[in-house]
Amino acid sequence: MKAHVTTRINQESVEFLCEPSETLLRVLRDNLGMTGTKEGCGSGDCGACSVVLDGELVCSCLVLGVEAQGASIETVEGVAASDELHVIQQKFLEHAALQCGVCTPGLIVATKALLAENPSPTEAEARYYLAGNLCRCTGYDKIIKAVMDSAATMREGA
Amino acid sequence: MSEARAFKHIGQRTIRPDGFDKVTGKANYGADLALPGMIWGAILRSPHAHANIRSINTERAEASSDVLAIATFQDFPSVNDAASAAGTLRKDLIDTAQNILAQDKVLYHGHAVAAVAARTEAAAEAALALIDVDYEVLSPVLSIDAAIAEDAPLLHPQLKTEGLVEPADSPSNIAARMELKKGDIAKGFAEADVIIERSYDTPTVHQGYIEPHATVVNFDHNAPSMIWCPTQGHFDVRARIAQLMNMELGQLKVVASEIGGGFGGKTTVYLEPVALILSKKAGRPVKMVMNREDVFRASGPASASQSTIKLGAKMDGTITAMQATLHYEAGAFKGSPMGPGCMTVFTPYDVEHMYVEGFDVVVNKPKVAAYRAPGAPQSEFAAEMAVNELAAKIGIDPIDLRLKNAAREGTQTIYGPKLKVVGLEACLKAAQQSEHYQSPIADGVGRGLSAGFWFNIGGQSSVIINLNPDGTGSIIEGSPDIGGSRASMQMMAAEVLGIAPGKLNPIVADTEHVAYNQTTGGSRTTFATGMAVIEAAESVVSQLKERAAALWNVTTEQVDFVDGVALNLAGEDSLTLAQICAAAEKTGGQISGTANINARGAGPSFAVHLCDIKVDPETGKTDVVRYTAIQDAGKAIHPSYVEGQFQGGAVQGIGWALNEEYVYNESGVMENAGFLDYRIPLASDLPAIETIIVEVPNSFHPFGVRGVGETGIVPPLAAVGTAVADAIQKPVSSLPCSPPKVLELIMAES
Amino acid sequence: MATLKLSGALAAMAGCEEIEVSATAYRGLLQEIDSILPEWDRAKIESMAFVIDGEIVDEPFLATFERDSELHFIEKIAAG
Repeated sequence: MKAHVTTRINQESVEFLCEPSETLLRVLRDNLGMTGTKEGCGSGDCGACSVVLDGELVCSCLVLGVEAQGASIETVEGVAASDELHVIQQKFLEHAALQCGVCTPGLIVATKALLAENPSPTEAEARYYLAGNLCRCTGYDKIIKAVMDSAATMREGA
Repeated sequence: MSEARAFKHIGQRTIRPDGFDKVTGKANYGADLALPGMIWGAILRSPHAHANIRSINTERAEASSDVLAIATFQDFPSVNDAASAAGTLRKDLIDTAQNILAQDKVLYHGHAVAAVAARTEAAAEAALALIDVDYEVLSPVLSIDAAIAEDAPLLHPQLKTEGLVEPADSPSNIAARMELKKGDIAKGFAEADVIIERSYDTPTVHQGYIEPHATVVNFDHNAPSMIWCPTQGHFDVRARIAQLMNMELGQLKVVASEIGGGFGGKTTVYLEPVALILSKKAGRPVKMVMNREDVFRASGPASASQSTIKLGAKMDGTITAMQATLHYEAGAFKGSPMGPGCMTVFTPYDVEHMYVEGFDVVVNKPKVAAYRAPGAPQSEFAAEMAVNELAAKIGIDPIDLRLKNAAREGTQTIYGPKLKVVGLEACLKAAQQSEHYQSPIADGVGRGLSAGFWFNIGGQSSVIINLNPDGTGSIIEGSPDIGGSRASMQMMAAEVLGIAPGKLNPIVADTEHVAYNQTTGGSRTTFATGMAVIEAAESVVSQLKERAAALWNVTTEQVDFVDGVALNLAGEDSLTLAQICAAAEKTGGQISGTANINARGAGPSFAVHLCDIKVDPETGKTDVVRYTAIQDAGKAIHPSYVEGQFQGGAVQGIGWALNEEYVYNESGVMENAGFLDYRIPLASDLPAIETIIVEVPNSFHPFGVRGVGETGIVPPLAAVGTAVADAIQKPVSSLPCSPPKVLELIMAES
Repeated sequence: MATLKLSGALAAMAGCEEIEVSATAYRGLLQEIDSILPEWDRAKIESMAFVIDGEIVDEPFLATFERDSELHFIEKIAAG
C-alpha cells in the first residue's frame, strides 16, 4: 500500500504517494518529474543525487521517500531564483567547471551546502567536502576554482 | 597556416550556450525522459562467466499478467534470417547481436540473456525470476596467459587467428595478430651499446562515465520509431539498429539526449535494440536504465594488456632499435584496440629500426569498448616506462633523450605515412622550461614524465546555419556535445560571420533533422564538425554578399564582407548582417548555409605530462602532489574547454595508474562492481592539474585546429608509474600502483 | 611516378615494400594495382584509409594526388 507524504520541496508544499520501499531520488525523478537530481550509482557513492534534507547534505538514493514526511528538501531546481543564477551556478559556468554536466546538479547542491557551513573553506577543505561528488570529465581542477571563487564572491556580497 | 592569425572570438573564454540548463537541472539526460503510457524493461543477466545455454524457457513469464513483452536473441530478425545468415551478413553484426542478447553461450558474468517489459521498473525486475535458463557451466578464461595456454577452454570454437604468416588451421582464443616493421630490427640492436628488455601489464579498467546507459524507445508502425538515448553517435545507433532489426534508416529516428560522459564507452548499443523489440511487442513506449553494477559488469570496459618492450641505444642517447610485443584482452568477442596500440606505441620516436607484434585475445570478460585514444595508453605506458629506464641507465635527462630522438615533420612512422608538422618537440621544450620541471623534488617524492601520441580523425559532418530576419540564427549540427562543443561551434561560426557568438543558437539535431554525422569520438568534433560549421558560415557569407549586391544594384565582386558588415566597394554604403537579413524577403527569401563534408587532414596531437608523487613508505599509499599536462592543440578554440580535456584525460590516466582495476574472483565474477570499490579519483585525491597549451597549427584546418580530447589520457600511466618508481627506488612494471602492490615493491629485496 | 608504400600483409603478398604507379587518383590507383597484383584483396583495401603525403583520408574515393606523392593504405582509426 502506498504511503501519503506531505513535505516541502524548494519552499513549496508538496504531497505525493509512494511505495514504502521507494527512495526519495525515485520519488523526485519519477513521481514528481524533478529530473534535475541525477542517479549515477544508486548506492550513495557518486553524489549525483545530492539534495539537502532539513539542512543536511544527503544522497537522495539513500533516503526513503517516506522519510520526507514533514521535512524540508532543497534540490538543484531551487538553487536559482527564477531566471537569475545563483553565484555558484554562475561561477561554474565562468570557470568551465562542467563538461558533460551530469554531476553538476549534485556538485552545485553540495557546494551550496559547503559554503553554508563554511563560508571560507581552504582548497583542501573544499576538496574533502566535495569528495563524495564524483566527476569523471574535469579532473576537478576547474570545479575547485569555481567553488573558491564562489566563496570569495559570496563573502564580498554578504 | 603557419603565421599567427588575429581572431576576434576564437581563443576567448565564452559561457557555453547549454550551460544555463546544465547548472539548473533543466538539461535532459538519458534517464530523464518519460512518455505517456511508458512501461519499463529489465534484463536477465548471466550468473556465470562462461557457460553453454542449454535452453531458455519463457513460459512462466509469458503466463504472468505482469509481463507485457519478452525479448531474446531469437527476436533479431536479420541475424536469424536464414538468407542473410547464409549470405554476406557480417560477423561483427552477429557478435553485436550476441553481446546484446546471448545466443547459445554466455561469455561473461552479467552477459544479457533475455529481457522483459512490465508496468513498473520493480515489476519488470521481479518478472526476470520467471525466466528459466538451463546452463552448462564451463571453465572461465580470465587472463591473457590463461587464454593463450595450450589447453585453454575456447570461447568461440570457430575462431581462428587472423593475420598469421601461415593461415591458422585450428581454433584459438587469439583472434588476430598484427605485425609492423620498419628498417632491420636485428641491425638496430647490433648497433646498440645498451639494450634493455622489460615486461609490463595493465588491468581491465572502465570508462567510468557518471551517467549509466539508458534509453526510451517508442516503436511506431506508421512513422519513424523514436529512440532516445545518451550516445556519442546517434546516427550510428540508427545504423546498428537498422542492421539488427532489418529496418530502413528512414523507419528510425534517434534522438541524442544530453550525454553524461562517454569517453568511447557510448559508441555502441546495448539497451536500445532490446527496448525496440519490447516496445514493438508491447505496443507501448519502453524505458530501460542500467544500474551502476550492470554498467561495470556489462558495458565498457577497456582492455587489460601485457607488453614486452626491448630498446637499444648508443651511449650518446641515440635510440637504435625499438621492439614491442603487445597482447590486448578483447573481452568476450574479438576486436580489442590492439591495432592502434601497435601503431601508436613508438610514434613519439624517430628511430630507424622498429618491430611491433600485437595480439587480440578473447577472454571471459565484457566485450571491450573504446576508451579515449583506444589502445594507446596501454602500449605507450610500456614504451615510455622503458624509455625512462633507458634514460636513467645511460645517465641522460629523460627530456633530452626524447628531444634527441623525437618524432618531427617527415618522421617515418611504423604504420606507414610520414608525419606532417607536429608539436612534440614544442611540448618537450615547454615541459623542460616549465616551472614544474625546474622545481626541486622534495624528500620522499618521485618525479616522472611521459610523452603521448594519438592520431585524431576527421570524417563526415553535416551542418546547417539558418539566419533569422533579425540577424540571429541557429547552427544545426549532429555531433552530440559531450564536453562543451556547442560553445566551440558557436565561436567558429561567429568568427566567420563577424557577429557575437550569442546571436547563434547551436542545436544538436536528431537523425531526421540533419544529414549523417560520424560519432563524437576520435577527437574529431571541434576539428571536423567545426570545419563544416566554418564552411556553412562561409556559404552564408557569400550569400550575404550577393544579397547586399542586389540591394545596392552592384556586382558581387564590388561587395566585401568584414566583421559582420558588407561594404560597397563602388560607394560608401555598408550593411550589417542583421540589415541584410531584415531585407532578405526582398532579395530572394531567407538565408541558410549548409555544409556536408568528409573532413581530411586531422592533425595528431602530442602531449608531455609531468608528475610528482609522494609515497608513504609504511603503507604504500600514494599522493599526487603536483601534475602538469602539456599538449599541442593546434589552435585552442575555447581554451577553458581545451584545458578541461587535458585535465580530464590526465585524471582518468592517474586513476588508471593508481587505483582502478577490475578485481575478479576465480569464477569470473567482478568483485568490485561499484564506485565504492572501483575507486575513480576524488577531488580530495588530487592537486590542481596545471596545463600548458602548445599551439602548432594543423595546416589542414582553416583555424589550425587539432583534436585534443584523447591524447591527454596517454601520458599519465608512465608519468605516474615512473614517479612511483622514482619515489620508492624500485622498478614498477604493473598497474595499478595501488597501496598493497606498492608496499609489496617497497618490502621486496632489492 | 607516385610511390605506393606497402607494409605488413600487403607487402608480404606483393613481395615488395613499394610500387611505382602512374595513376594520379585513388580510383586509377586501384585499377592499376588490379592489373599488377590480381590476387590482392581489393575489398579489404577499400575498407582502409588512404594516406597521401602524410594526410590521412578516410574516404578516398575521389582523392587525387601528385606525380611524386607518397601513398599508403592504413587501418581506419577507431574512436574513443
